[in-house]
Amino acid sequence: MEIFPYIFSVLLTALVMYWSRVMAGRKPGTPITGLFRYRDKPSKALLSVARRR
Amino acid sequence: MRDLAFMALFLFMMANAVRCLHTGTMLWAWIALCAPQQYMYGIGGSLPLNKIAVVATVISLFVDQTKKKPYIDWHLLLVGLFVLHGAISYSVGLSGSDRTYELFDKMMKIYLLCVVMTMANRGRLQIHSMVIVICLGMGIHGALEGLKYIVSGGAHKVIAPGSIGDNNYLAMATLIVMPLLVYLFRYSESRLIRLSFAGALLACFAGVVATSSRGGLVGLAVLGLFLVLHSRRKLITLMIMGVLVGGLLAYAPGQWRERMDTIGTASEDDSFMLRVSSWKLNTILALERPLVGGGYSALENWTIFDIYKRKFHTMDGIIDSPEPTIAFAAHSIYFQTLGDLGFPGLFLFLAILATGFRNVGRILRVTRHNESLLWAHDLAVLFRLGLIVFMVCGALLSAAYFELLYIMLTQVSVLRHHLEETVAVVKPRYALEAPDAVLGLPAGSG
Repeated sequence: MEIFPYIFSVLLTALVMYWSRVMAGRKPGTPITGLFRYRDKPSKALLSVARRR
Repeated sequence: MRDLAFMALFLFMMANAVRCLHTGTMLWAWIALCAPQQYMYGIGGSLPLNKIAVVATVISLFVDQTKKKPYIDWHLLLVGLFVLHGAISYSVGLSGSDRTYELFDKMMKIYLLCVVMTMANRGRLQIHSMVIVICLGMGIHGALEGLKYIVSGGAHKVIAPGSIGDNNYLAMATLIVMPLLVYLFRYSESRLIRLSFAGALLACFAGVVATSSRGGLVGLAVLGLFLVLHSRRKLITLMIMGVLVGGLLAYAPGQWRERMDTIGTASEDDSFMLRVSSWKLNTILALERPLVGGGYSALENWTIFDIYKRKFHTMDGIIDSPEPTIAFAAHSIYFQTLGDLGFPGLFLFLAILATGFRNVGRILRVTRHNESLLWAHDLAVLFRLGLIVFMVCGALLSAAYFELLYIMLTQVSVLRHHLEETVAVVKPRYALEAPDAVLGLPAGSG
């Protein structure tokens, strides 16, 4: 049974490597897109909590 | 079948690794942390994947034109000195066992990886990708055991993967990865990925419980405490913790509770007192060879152990503990470096840890007034949390040469370097009046 999460993890690792290489190869300033893209800032909800405090 | 599936994916990773240096370092780090061979039983299990990953990375050093020059900072300098001192201790050490050579070789490779990481992982994309790879590489072990534990209703008995060690090591490794999963949950944009990391976090929590490691429970308590302290939404975090702890107390098997109850009576516990004996033996070895120690894992060699066992009585009067009868690992990162590498080794090791905290402090200062660098602030705080967990759990484990520690600390160094390079050109988008309060930290925590 352990094979499914394990293969899923290996697959994700392969995808992250591919995504990272493709994103790094783009022109500087091009926004990061794709499945593993990250947020520039935390969610609006988190930020509003931060600002209120 | 699983071997074929893995080999196909590994070839794909290799194709990426040889073309791009930072992808090469990701593959190298992933192989070092995950040791995927242990999940395969055919041809994949016998391949030297680590060596192949190193070769791919070296090729990419020549192919990739975007790489940067390596830099040197206190972290790299200290790790370099630590490895060099280890090499000297190895060459004049007492033990010439295979295990000693294995650790010497491992530390050399770790240093090489750290240096290459400084050339490759210099932007947010690379740092973020490496964090994902760390979580996938190391988190998979704990998450897998956690899933089995949940599915079996708490009946699953964990046998830690050989590459990690026993259940205590697995618990520690999983705990170190958990703050990074929190970061990925917070900063991944895709809902699917965020949910995957949240699920992995829960599975890792179950994995730590499943190990029945008392050190793991202490680490979990430390992690929970600091997560609440650093959280911006303390009430929600506390509620989540309450649900997890309530679930744990309601569903944990009686055997698990009995074992955890012995935490309070450590001085009566044979397992703990054997550790104290081992610490004493390592201290005796260091006092006899203060400059170089006995070499990597010297006291795990029966011949060396027999020599120092006879001197055990010199520590009489300092915490009563039974005389050891078997060659036993140091069971503490601090006494391990003391016994293996002498006082300079311990000093260098502590200095490496202190430099990690110093780098985090520097990152917090640099990011303090800049909302657009909040991600770096959060990542640094969570790296620091992983480091604290390592120092707490490691007090009872021989984990001083654990790859994850050096990879993590190098990431902190790289993050600091990246910020120092870019912060001059990034204008604050939103100046904060009271940054510490906004970030939910005690005043002056940066």
